[in-house]
Amino acid sequence: MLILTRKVNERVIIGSEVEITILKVSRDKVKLGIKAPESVMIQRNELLQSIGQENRRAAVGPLNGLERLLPALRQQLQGA
Amino acid sequence: MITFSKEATEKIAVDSRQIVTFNSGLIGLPQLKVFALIEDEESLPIRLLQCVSTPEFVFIVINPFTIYPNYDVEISDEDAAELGVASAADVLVLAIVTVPEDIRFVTANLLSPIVINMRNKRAKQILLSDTDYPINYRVLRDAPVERRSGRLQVAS
Repeated sequence: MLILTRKVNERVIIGSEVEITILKVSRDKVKLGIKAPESVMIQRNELLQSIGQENRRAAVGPLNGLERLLPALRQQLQGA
Repeated sequence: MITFSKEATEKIAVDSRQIVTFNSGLIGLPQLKVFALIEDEESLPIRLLQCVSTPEFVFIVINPFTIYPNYDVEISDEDAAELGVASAADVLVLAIVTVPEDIRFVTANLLSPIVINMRNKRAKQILLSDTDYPINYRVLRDAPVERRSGRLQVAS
């Protein structure tokens, strides 16, 4: 991992199109300004982590049990 | 009648099994790229996605428009380009379903649905922006309320 020390209002450039500005530092928070092309995905890490975790929870594993689960699920949906 | 066999997926009675490819895998599971989309007329709006390389990964997916009134999916230009989507008519949108012990609390991930271009079978789990759809939307609205951690909001 590359570690850089920056002061408020200083910038870091990543590639030729991504620019990160340190806007504000207060106690345990850092406010960042990010300039990037629309094609660059920028997400809070926790959000992707949560979705990944939900995906892993959603994996029903071997088809074991599905023969019970699916008809029950369908029945519930129809009754809803 | 859906007759899912415990042992072999080949024994699943299905009307259709199509191979779809997620170039970047699922979110948090990037190694899972190629899936069989398994559907049976009887089982709609529920389908299955089974990983081809790791068959023990099976996901239950549902047509989100059937469970959430006015569900709105806006596919970004970048995602559309990545999937080669030319027309909305080619796109199949699916929400991944999580089934807990108590089936009444089944949830669907409305924030990051799966989008499949049915013309070329390219798929992606996209992340909707500017929405506050939950990743754990309760599918059965009249079931008793379960205590669980707060809903997740889209970063803005």
